[in-house]
Amino acid sequence: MFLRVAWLVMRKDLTIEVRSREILYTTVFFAVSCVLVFAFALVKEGRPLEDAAAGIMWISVAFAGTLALGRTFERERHSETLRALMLAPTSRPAIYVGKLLGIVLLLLIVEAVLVPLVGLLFHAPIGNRPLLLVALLLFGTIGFSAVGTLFAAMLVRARSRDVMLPILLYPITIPVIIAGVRGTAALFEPVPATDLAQMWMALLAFFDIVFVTLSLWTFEPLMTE
Amino acid sequence: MQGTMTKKLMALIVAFWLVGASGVRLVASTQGQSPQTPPTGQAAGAEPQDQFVPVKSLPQQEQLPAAPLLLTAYGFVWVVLLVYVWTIWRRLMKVEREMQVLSARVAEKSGRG
Amino acid sequence: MNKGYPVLALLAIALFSAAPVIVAQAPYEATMGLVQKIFYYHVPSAMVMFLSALICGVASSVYLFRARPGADRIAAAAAELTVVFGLIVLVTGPLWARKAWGVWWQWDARLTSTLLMWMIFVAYLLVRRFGGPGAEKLSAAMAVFGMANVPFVYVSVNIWRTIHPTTRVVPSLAPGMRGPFWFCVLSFMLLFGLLLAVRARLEQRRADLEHLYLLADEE
Repeated sequence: MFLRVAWLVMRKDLTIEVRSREILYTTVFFAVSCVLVFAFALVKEGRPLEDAAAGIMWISVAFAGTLALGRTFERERHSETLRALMLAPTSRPAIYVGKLLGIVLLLLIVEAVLVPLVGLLFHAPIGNRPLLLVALLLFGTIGFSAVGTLFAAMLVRARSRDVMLPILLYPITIPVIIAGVRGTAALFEPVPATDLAQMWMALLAFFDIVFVTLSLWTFEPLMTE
Repeated sequence: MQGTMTKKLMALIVAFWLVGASGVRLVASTQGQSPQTPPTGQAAGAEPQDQFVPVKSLPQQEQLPAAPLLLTAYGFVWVVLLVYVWTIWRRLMKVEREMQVLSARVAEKSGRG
Repeated sequence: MNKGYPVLALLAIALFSAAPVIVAQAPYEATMGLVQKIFYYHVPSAMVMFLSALICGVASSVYLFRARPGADRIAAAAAELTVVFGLIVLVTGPLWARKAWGVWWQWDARLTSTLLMWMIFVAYLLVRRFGGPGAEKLSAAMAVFGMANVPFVYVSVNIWRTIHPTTRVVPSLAPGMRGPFWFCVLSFMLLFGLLLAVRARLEQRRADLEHLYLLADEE
């Protein structure tokens, strides 16, 4: 039942997205322009700044993620559909999981465009340990979205939600950014430091477990008016 | 039911801290064991270490006078606390004043009505 | 208001005013000399800051799960005090570091996690102030998540080598320094308790005022 509700909520979001593609297109475009801005700032005489690739990748993911979260819930607010969802006689944590899955999937698609672009523009060896890189991105995205989905859902009712989301989200997700950037930077070394990347990945996985649990737990009281 | 919820939450928070603390030790120990120390992390960590020179070994004229730093620190603490107490007092006064005006109005209204 | 407050307030002021005198009489530390005396204000403020953050987190979770408005008032008061004492910690720390380490700031685990925790509580206050309706719950969630976040920040930053003096400094203090140090801790704690009570009372009065406005509208 729980998984079915989560699945249905995710499918609902994805169906809307597949029909309009609004969030996907705008987020991808935003992420690409983000990387380009960094490229103009940090590539000097055709040579990118050393060690910059990992940082730029994760900053772009975080920025694009904030945008996607804001847009996804703006859509829900516009037609009061979140309230309808909350009124549905299902477990609320399942709704949270559904929204989370939708956002993670969306961000993974964005990253599929973003990462090769960063590799291209900043000479980052993204093919060093592809599986480990994917795992880092996956865990990082889940961690970022877990906190982001909860806060964005709460902010639906709030005033000045566009400003509040980054204010709340960035301090809390600092460990994700640190672990993601350091882990990816370890992979981008000429000789990839696999054990270090694995350690960061473990930290990310642990962060995911704790924060998804905490969100599931607090979603119910937080969304009760 | 709700009491157990709060208890659970407390237990969870305590558990986070414990796990976090043990995690620190774990990271520290893995760092010590692995011969491949973090190449990127070290870049940030090693730099200040190179710059770090014990105060005693500095020549006398390069040593910073400590008194201004100390006075700034103590002065800052006092100023911050006094300003904070003042803001609380001001806010409290404002609320009280508003409260008096309002209760007078309410009393007047109910007296008439 | 309680009768005990004025007495306690006088006591706190007396202790706090006596603190610099007592600190001045404490012995010099061998390697760091005079600047080490910042420690007597820095460490108690840090203790108060962490205590205050803990109170805020616990009160916020009580508020979230049991919907007690009183817990929310205490959480709001504690969050503001965390920011005030955190500011003291974050300013006195670099003043000491400039002399002892030769630099104002270091990206080590303890400094960075303190800074981030301070930022989380600044965000708490911002949300509370500008979040509009429902901001209490939002900020409570911020406090709970922020508490859970601290160990992660600490672990993740710990990879960068720590050069901050550890907590073991306190038990290893020279006997002559122990007295003044605990005196300062006591005066900071007393001051903190008082400020917390007064600040929570302000929040209480604001709630009363809100209530009175509702009453006035009804008539």
